[in-house]
Formats: sequence, structure tokens, C-alpha cells
Amino acid sequence: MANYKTIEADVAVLGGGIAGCLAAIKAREQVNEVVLVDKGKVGRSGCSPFAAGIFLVRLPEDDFDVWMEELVKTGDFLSDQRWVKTYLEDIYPLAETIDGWARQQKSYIFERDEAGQFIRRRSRGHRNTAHCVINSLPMMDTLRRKAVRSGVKIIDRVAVTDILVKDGQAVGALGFNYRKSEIIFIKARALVNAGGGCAYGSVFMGIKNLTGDLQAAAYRAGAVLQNMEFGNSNTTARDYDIHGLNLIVSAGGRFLNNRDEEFMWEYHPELGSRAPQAYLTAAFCREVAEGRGPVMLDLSAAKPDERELLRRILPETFKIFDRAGIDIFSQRLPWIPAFQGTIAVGGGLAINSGGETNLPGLYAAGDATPLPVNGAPNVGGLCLSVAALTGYRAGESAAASAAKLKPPSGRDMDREVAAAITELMTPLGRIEGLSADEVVWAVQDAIIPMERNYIKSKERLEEALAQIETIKAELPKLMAKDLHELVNVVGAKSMVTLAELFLNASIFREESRGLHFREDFPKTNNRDWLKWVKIQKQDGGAKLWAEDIPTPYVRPSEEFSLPPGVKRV
Amino acid sequence: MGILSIDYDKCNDCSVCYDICPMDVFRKLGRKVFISYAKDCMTCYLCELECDPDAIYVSPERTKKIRLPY
Repeated sequence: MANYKTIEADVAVLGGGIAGCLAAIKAREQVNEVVLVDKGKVGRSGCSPFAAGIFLVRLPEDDFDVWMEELVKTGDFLSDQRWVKTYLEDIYPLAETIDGWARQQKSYIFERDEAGQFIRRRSRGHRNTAHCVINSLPMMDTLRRKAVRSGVKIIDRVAVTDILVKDGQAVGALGFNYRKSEIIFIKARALVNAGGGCAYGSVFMGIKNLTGDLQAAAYRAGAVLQNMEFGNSNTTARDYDIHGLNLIVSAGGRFLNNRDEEFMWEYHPELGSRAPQAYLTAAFCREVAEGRGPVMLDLSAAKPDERELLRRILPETFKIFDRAGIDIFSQRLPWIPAFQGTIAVGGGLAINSGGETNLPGLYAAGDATPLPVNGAPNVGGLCLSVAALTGYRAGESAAASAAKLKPPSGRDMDREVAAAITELMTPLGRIEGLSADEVVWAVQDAIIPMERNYIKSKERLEEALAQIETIKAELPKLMAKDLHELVNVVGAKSMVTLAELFLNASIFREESRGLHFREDFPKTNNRDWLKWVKIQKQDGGAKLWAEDIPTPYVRPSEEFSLPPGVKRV
Repeated sequence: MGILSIDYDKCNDCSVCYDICPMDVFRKLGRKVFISYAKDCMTCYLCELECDPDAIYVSPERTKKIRLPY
């Protein structure tokens, strides 16, 4: 008798942030049985609830070509331009659709002016583009309610650990409900991986339940990952996990070094402290490495109406300021790069324009992918809106393929499921050994230091890789004393898998671009490296290769150029 | 530091904190929520923000030592 429960579905969506909710809602329009499962509670899990008020929308009156060029250039030519085109065409109707659901529910998501037009701002990276302002928690409440009312079956508090494959096709996901003490096998005709990325337990608001479990599971199942050399980085307070940086710089926030200089003008003469993320984090590191640290955030220039907006849109961050006794509008705070791993524009599952991965039956959306529109850290508000669009698209594609296939039959996966359960439970059978926290710290220590992350070299990346190998050898000692700890153990193991891929891909890309800066290859090399690095599991390790990036609309004008983090003036 | 206390004189047993916590910090005994995994609190303040009777106190300091870039 199997000791797990089987749930059968046409489409199973793994992960309930904005991408997963929209995938499930869209899939339910075409098929009957849609299951949406999340490690936390759908609507309060992942980083969507902390989306910090920004959502990029090209309105019908905005010039298509100008937006196309700005997004592709800001993305350092790493974007999938076919996706950029789709995005520019489809995001406005999708934003109106979501806001319409909110109005039906007597809620609201998008901030609008008295004439009912979207309020827009220019924050990080925006020259000609501009983002809308949203309320994240009402947005997620809207999506959860819409999913429930559409007939999506939501299962909260299930940590998904494995994606199972039969005859080369993804056929189901295995997980456990850590509150109900129950193992669940979700068997589906199509799966959407919307489980987000891996933030490695690093600093920043609201990202610590993102441990990359579903990226690691997909990799083990044979899915191809892309852009793994690009670890995402935002910025935050040195001592507190603050979010909302786009709105903060659009309200006049600026970064100062220990000489009171707004140094960002030297690294990005056009935008200064409003430069895209990669420019900020690289410049912070340069300033500190050259003795001009610490970097401080100064928000004293914010006008009264901007202060009110920040408080309203960023309630979590202002709770922290208030509780810590900080008046952010009069007091400067030490500010640092916040490594975020594979969330946002960090690497993830390679997808085509329909959201399909290379594994038949497996689709992906949101931060589980490298965000195909964005490329390098792009203009503010793009991550969330691309998560929304890829979710919608993946849900549509998954449902279309599910509708064509026969339902999965019987208990034919019993043996594979039993093996996965045995592996999963092993840490529960020990009373001493290694804790998840010890592994997480060791991984952070290997990959987060500036000289391995923001200013890389082959030699130092290889040192980091050796450190990861040591941790890997210790993993059989991992222990968990209950199911809560088992969730943390699964996360720690996923981090080790993904950290190794981050380092291998970082060694592979011999140039500097976006968030990837190689001291030994300090130029952006469009002649040889206008390519995506892809990784797939094979016997004995990872296979890496480079694939040309199609550039049908916008091409770089220079063969070699200066990457972020180099002074321009 | 993270979550420090639940004031049971104020708590109305609504369980919203238990229901939404992304880090699974809370557990329940009967209808009463208690703090079970304080070290996993990520100071996101969702519980405090949604606690109508204002019974929860979260300190803004991080609960764990985290590797910083420098």
C-alpha cells in the first residue's frame, strides 16, 4: 500500500506567485482540473507580495520602437527579442484584465489619477519608458480569489521536491504537506513550473522562502537552464531587509560615498542613482574596494507627496524603519548590494515563446525562468510584469497541450515515487549531523563575497567551486528533526545544486556583461559572446554550451563595450 | 531578532498569522497560535501588518547571520 496520496490534474501549476496564479487562471479557461500548489500560502508566498509597487506597462500611446530599443539595450542584448515584442504588445491588455478582476472584487491594484489614468513614474533605468504603481498585497489577494472562483484547486503548504519523468516526459510532481504530515504525488498531463528562483537566504525583503527547489528539481529531471552565470542583485540596507528601491530612487533617493559624493554620476552619467541595478551594485563594490565606502542612502530630497506614496505602497519597509526608530527622510543609512541569486533576472529554465521547456510536458514561467524579456537587470517594474505575462502564456500553452493528451493512468509511477520518498525522508532518520542552516551559511560564504560575485576571476571562481564541492560531500549528513526542518533541508540542497551551476557558468562566460563582471575579461564582447550559456545535467556533471542570441530587431552597435562598474567620467 | 512575542491578552485567535506566514514560523495548540520557529522569521512584517488586534511584535533585526558581499 503506497503511503502517499495521488492527485490527478490536467494541469498542475507549481508555485503561487503572480506567474503561477495567472498560469492556473488561464489554464482553467481551457481544461477542467487545474491544481495550484505552493510551499507557503498562495498569495503570500514567493516575492510577488513584496513586488514593491512597480509594474511596467507599455500603454497603447507609447512608441513601440522606442520601448523596444530601451528594453533590449538596458538588458545588455541578453533579451529574447521575440519575447520583448510579445511583451510590448500584450502587457497592457493583461494589466487591464487583472485590474478589472480587482474592480469586480471591490478592490484595486493600479494607482490611477483623477481622470482614471495609470499613475506612472521613472525610476531605475527608465529614460523613455515609465512604470505603473501597484499595490502588491491587494494584487495577490485578487489573484487568489480569482483562481478560487475560476475553479482552480489550491493546495497550500506543500513543498514540492521532485519533478518526475516517464519516457522523456514530465508526468508529475512529488511534495509533502509539512503541516498535515502528508506526501502528495500530483500527476498531471502538463506541469507549469512557477516556483520562483533561489535567493540563497540572502539579504532583502521577503525572499527567504525562495530556495530554488523547483529549478533544482527541473534540472535533475533533465531541463535546460540558461543565464545561470547572472546572479541577480538588488540593493538593501546593511542592517535591515528593506525593499522598494525603485520607488525610493524615483522619489529622489541618492547614494553617497564617504566623501559625500553622489558617485553614480561617474558610473552612469545619464541616470546617476537611477541607474539600472547592475550599475549600482558594481559601483557600490568599486567604491568600497577603493576605500570610499560605506555607501549611504540619502532620501532627504523626497517631497511630501512622494513620502506619502512610499509609506502607502511599501508598508513592510516602513514598519522596519518605524520599529528601528529610523526617519529615512532625515537620516542616512548604510546601503549594500543584496545578492538574490536566480530570482528575477538570475538564471533559470530556458523557455521558448510558448513557455515550453525542453522537457515535454514541462512549462515554466516567472522567476523560475531567466525572465526572457529582461536579459540583464532591466528597467524597474519589468520583472513583475514579465512574470505575469510568462505565467499567462505558459498556462495557455500547458492547457492546450493537456487537452490533446490522454489522462495519466493508474499507479504506474509507484516505483519512482517510492524511491524519491526514501531519498526525501533520509534526513529525518538521524539524530545528529549537519543542519540546513550550516549548509546555507557555507553556500553563502562560497558565492556571495564581492570578489566571487561582483568582481569575478577564473581563479577565485574555482576556489569557490572547490568550497561547494566540499559542502556537497557533506550533504549525506543533513538532518531534520521535523517536517519544518525538512523543508529547510530541501532548500539547502537546492542551493548547493544551483550554486555549483552559477560558478560553472560564470567560469564559462569569458567576458563581462550585465551582472557578470570578469576581472580577467573586463569588456563586453559582442563579437564572440552575443550568446546564451545553457546547462543541462548529464552523467558525471553538467554539460555547458553557448547558443547565439537571435537579434531580429535591435543589434549592438559596438563589438566591444564597457560593462557596468567602470567609471565613464 | 525577528518575531519576539504574541500578546495573548490582545490575540483574538483569528490565526491569520499562522495562515499567511511564508516561513512557517507559527504552530497551533487548539485555537491558539504560538511561535515555533522564531529563527526562521525573515522580518517581512506580513503577520504584524495583518494582525487586527496588534498582538504581534516583530523586531526589525535579522534573525540569522547572513554573508554580506563585503
